[in-house]
Amino acid sequence: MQNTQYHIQISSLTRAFGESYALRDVSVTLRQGEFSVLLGPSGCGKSTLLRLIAGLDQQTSGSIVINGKDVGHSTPKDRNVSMVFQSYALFPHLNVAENILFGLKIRKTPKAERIQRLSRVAEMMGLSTLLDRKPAQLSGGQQQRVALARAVISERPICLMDEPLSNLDAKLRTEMRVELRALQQQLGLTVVYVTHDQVEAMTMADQIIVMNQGRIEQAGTPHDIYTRPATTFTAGFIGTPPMALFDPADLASGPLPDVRQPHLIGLRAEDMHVAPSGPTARIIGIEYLGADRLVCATAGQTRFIMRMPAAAPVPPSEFALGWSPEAVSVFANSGQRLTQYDFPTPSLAQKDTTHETA
Amino acid sequence: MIKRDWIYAWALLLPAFVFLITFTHLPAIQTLLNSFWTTPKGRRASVFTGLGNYEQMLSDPVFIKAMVNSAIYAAITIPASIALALIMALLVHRSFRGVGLLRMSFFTPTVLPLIAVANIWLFFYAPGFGLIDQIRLFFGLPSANYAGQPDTALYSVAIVTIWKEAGFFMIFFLAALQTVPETLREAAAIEGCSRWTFFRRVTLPLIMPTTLFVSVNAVINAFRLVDHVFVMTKGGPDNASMLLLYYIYETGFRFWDTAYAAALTVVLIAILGVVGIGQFFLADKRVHYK
Repeated sequence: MQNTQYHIQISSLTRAFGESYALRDVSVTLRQGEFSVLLGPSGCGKSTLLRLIAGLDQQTSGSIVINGKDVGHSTPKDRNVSMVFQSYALFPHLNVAENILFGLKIRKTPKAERIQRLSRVAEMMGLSTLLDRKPAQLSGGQQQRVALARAVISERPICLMDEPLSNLDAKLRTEMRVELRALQQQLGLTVVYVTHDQVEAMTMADQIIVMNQGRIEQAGTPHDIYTRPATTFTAGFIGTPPMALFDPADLASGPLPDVRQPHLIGLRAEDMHVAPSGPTARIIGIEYLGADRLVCATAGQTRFIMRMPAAAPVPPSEFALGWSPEAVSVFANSGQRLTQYDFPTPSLAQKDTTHETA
Repeated sequence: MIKRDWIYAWALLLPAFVFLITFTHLPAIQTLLNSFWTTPKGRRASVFTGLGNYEQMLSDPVFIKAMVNSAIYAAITIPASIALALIMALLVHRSFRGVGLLRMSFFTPTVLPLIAVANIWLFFYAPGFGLIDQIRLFFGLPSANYAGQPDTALYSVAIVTIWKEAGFFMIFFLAALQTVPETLREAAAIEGCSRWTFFRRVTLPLIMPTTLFVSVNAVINAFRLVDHVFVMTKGGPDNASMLLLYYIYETGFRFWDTAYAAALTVVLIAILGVVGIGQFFLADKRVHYK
């Protein structure tokens, strides 16, 4: 059966508000047991897509199929999903235990089973000693755990998360990233995760779906998205600093593919280096980051940022720019990647093993 | 330096203080003192009677009638106006065409003076040509005089109070409902929570502070709002709609038995104080404050 293999299938999904489109003809498959991240700038439609999957909003057209069943017009509870909200959505008048058990009580789960599941989940999330507290007596990180526990205890196979880490401080966010990913692996959850933070996306995702202006720009593994962005939008959105986009004329004396149409050349900051010969670049400024140096420079009309190890000598104010030919991305002027100029590298053919846990 | 701050503080407080003492605290104390004395008459000066005025109440059939009526009146108007206010608030706590108009129409009775409201309702109740009688006659029922019959007079007065108060309380409930975050509703919807269960398990507990505030107000108003009694029934017929505050007015300003009226006033204040404080202490444990 193909349907059990693909957990959430979204086809031609559109959500319009009057004349404006929040989501326009979006099709994507979110696979079972994978951590899928919807990534994009604010207003790109990622939250709308998540809310449509949850059933909190109604699509204008298109279909959502979960486990082979069209749920596009079902109520949220019939979709068998759990959800973690950005604001956590904890009930302020209920204590931690009551908050976690809220759904089970609604669904009239027997009391003995409720107690058993609560103690297991509380143990797993490190909330055992906090069960009597009200949400207001908890720190942000603890509230986050309660929200997660509420999703986990439902034992539903799909968990939707709407920017769950954005209200935490930076240190806690880093810790929670690791924990979330471990939890997802441990429970074999299908997670759909909305964020505008590309670090979260890169570190946790099996699949990143980059969205922009209500459309999907690219869906792929973090490695794919980073090394082979499908559009200039993705190239500019992913990566800190973003991929530099050159007018080919500015790089004329370097190793470039022979492209017979107007196009742009994309290069990642770390794929460029100081070379014995090549197009001339002029330094504008240098940022020292400890391990690296970010060199901001111009080549012809194009301004770019190049990353170099801090141990390497600081380049002179004018230097020859070099790059590895296999790192070159070629985009048509329309913004689409011209895949026929991709350099076939064996590493890309391999399965992405970035986040595999033993 | 500290001393100067104190002078400054007192100087700022003084105007409010003067008015409060002159018009609230002194009269209150004076009332309490008067209630232990007899009413001064032309030939006979006031004499101390201790609890004489209070003993008189126990054997005063009109006072007992007024107490019973006030209890019934409170028992009807308080829950009914709160429930109606909550229902109206839930009705207009969403957006649809004409929601502004609906909110306004619910709130209008609050803006109208109670005297005017009472006059409107007199026309509703008027036997023969009143709105209610016209409907009754249309269905072939005999004419009825709701405000003029001893067995219905109190209820017809109570209905006006409910009509008048519900719109006012609705505003508080509406404001409270709007502070309940939408994500809570969504989180509950994902769990499969029905609208009624959500209302009972989440909305109602979260608006409890408002409910408490409104109910304290409703209790006070149940004893305080008697303007329409003046217009509609004057406490009659045969004291059928006699309320405690109206009885105080009659005793004090129509019969000029000021000492007895003072004693009645003390009783009224005692009732209100006990009920109000009791509500806070009883409800405090069950109310969730943010």
